Amino acid sequence: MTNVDFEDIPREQPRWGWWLAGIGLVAAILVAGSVLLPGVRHQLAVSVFRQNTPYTPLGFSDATALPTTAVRGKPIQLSFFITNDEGKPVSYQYVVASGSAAKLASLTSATKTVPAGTTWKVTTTVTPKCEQTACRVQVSLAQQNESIDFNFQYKSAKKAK
Amino acid sequence: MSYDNRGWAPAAPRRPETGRPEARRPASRQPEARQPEARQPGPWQPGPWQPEARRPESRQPPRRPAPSVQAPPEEPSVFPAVAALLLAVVVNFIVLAKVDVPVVRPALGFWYIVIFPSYLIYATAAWRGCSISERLGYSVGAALLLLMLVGLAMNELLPAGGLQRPLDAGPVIITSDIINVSLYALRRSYPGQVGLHISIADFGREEVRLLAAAALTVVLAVLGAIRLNNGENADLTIAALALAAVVGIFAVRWLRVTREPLMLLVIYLVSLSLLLTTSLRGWSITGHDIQQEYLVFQLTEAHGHWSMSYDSSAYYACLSITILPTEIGRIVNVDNPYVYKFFFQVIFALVPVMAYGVSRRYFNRGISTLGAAYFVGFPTFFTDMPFLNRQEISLLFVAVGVLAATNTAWSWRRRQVALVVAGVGVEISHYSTMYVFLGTLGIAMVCAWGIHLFVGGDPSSVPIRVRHRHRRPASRLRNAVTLGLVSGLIGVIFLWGTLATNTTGQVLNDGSGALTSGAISFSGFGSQAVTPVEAIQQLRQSSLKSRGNQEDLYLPAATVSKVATPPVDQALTPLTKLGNAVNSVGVPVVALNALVRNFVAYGEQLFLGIGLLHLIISRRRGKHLVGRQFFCLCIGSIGMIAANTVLPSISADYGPLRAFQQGLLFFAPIIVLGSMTVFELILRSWARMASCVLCLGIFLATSTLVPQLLGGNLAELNLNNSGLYYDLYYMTPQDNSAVSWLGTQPKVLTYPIQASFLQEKYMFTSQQHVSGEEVITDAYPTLVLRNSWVILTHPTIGDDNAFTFTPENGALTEYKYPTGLLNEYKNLVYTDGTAVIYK
Repeated sequence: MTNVDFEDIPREQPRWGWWLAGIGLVAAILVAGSVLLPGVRHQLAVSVFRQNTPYTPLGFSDATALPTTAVRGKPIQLSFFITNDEGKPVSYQYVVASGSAAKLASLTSATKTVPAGTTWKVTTTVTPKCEQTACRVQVSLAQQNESIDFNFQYKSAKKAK
Repeated sequence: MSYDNRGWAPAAPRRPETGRPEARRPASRQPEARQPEARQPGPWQPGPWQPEARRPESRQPPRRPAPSVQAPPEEPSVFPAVAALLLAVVVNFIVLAKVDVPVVRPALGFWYIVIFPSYLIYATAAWRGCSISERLGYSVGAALLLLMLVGLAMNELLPAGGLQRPLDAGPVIITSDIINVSLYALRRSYPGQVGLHISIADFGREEVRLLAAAALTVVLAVLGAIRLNNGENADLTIAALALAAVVGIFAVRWLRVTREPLMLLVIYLVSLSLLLTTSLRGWSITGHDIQQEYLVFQLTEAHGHWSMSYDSSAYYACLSITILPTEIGRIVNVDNPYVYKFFFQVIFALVPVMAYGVSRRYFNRGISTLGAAYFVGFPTFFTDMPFLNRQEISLLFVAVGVLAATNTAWSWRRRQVALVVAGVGVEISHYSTMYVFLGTLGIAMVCAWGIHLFVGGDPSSVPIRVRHRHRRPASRLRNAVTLGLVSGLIGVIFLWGTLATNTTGQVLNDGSGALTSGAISFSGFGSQAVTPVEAIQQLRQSSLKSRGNQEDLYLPAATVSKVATPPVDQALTPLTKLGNAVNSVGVPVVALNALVRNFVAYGEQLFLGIGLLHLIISRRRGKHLVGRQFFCLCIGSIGMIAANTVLPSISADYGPLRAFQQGLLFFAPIIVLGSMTVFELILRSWARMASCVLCLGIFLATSTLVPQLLGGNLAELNLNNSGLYYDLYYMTPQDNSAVSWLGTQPKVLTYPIQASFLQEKYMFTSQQHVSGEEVITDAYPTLVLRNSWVILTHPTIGDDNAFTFTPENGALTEYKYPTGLLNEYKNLVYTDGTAVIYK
């Protein structure tokens, strides 16, 4: 356990000069490569630092307050948000649409450039146009291929009164 | 041929055995404790498969201890004390002033709260006569136990004095100050030799190469995990595993020319690198049990106080994942997941070193090194232990307990007291480990009784009236595992588990439930008892039946009972170029991988059995290789593995794999012994080489290095961004974003939350939203409630695959999820591309 055990064993001393030279050479290659070659710089970056994961959250501001019923022809208010976690400014265009089946009709839309790391909060009023009693309202971001939606039922005219 | 303590190279010629070793050596005359263990001429019973000749000196008449020459006391340098004081002031300042300096604060903070107190304990006279590995174990174990117990005391006392958040940074740093000052005073009063006089000038060429390579494995493991987390390939992790294997080869090859303390460091670094390859996967908490462990950690930190009233689960009763990480987290101030992902692994990597220390009690360096390789090469070590932080800490205390029980420098009573203290550490760290440990000791005790009854008393363990510092070989120690000791440990469980935390009942209920339900399995290492199709059918039927008269709460039965949820087989990784080349020459790679997996699983058990048989035969021939105490402890641990296999719920779902990992603390070298016994019969003089090659082969297979290079294997998390563990446990930033959004929803917990298995990874753990009241249930279609939140993430979004786990039959099943069902009946209220939430 102590050095005494090994005093009688002939051991070669490490070549510290070789070690220092080797480490220095590797460091120099890495530094030079990262400066001169973008590929090496990229490989170093993905090996040492956390890279941004680009994505865009889209959601209703209060999912528990979404209407379950509505009066045909009367507007309803929607609140949703779009957060830019893409790591760069992005121009978002949302479309609010409604419909009773797979076919949806656009109700409103807007476009805005959102800086990275910030949230675009949208509150809008739309009047859904659905032929059937069951109606679906969808908010979509076409470029991001994302959408959220909710379903509600039209009240009958008598109940509405 | 016999083997000295430098390795397994031939030692000086010895006389043939003429009787029991040590029999004529009066222990009372042995000057023992002052000599470090490795300075003795060799292990007490070195070459286990070769008859160990008695040492020449044992024939010599007993010598009186040489009168000690009083050397003039060396004036200790004040520089280390001044430096430590300055650093302590710096740590206090940055903690109290809330200065967050990256790298500096985590490094200094961890030094101050764990390393420095461990060092102060290490440097006391308490461990005189102990080897470095056991001193390390005792001191780190004592420091962690102090942190938990003093933290608990502050937690209970300070609120009475008006301080409602005793686990905030201020009280914690002051607690650390008190601990460190007390330990410094203790060390001043009872100074001991540090025993670590390593000078760079003394390094040999081989030592430097090994250390540099071992350190490089750690660097590669960290960088490899970062690359994978960034979506890149696993080249660096593969390099780390390959380098670890190379280090293993040369660690054995150069045993004669490397010093043991440096080899301990090599074992530590390689162990750490293996742990980090898994623990650092994912930018947030990744893994199974660690999700719940992180929740209770966050709950404690959010309250700045630990109380069972916040959460009555058995998890919350584990101080190793509540008070301990809170204390460390307050001081190091990193993102909280990294307290587990990095700092706990730094602590746990000591356990293989301690396993080596246990092995060195009885075996030479070669066998002990291979034993350590078996310990870290067992898949559970690096695929599951990083996700079981409470068990990591408790295993450290188990290792301390085993080292204490087999300590040759301590008296029988002192070994017992130390074992009970270690038992306290195990119990407050992890209840299940305590039950398995207690079961091991209980079976060992019964085994010792049985042997005593049928074979007779152990002549070696007859109490000798010796002063406690007089060392005897570990194989001749009197059995410390007695009825009184086991009763004492039961008392510890009663005090903590029943009186203090009231969690014993939950575990007993689990155990009795397993017994009464007849959930008995003989499936070895956890293979599934029911087929996936049967599991799905059983779940569907039982869930529809359980609806009763609450049909309107669920999605319509008429619809959900018709949707198809076909089981999905786990996909194998595609064959690589190398795999295709091997395949093309007629070697079926997929079948080969399966064959190797089975060989490893059954081979280790077979070699263990043969090793134990070897011990029994050797004992019959009068050779005490390990002694009755250690033999019975091995039998005890095997008994607990058997119990966990037959009754998985007997110890809170501990499972045979985890029990086997714990058992390797005892019997890893016996597996090596078994392999050597077999190879000696077949290959004679090549037995040692063959055993090394076998160990290397097992490591290459279990680390999945070779299967990864060939393909055709189940993808492992530490090497892939795919596979079972990735799908089950990996949390992407999008997943975290979805959970964070859900946490901000008004009255979120008034509605049920449902998700595919593993549900715990969706728990709210942020400081603002953690409550411990959240319950997330399975989102299997027949279980989906109309008003619930349903979280779907990868691989459901993208591949439509989901998982369900049925505790009744222990089946984890992957199946195709009918997402169209949710689109039809629920609102899609959140999406970020790969994670969606329905309401």
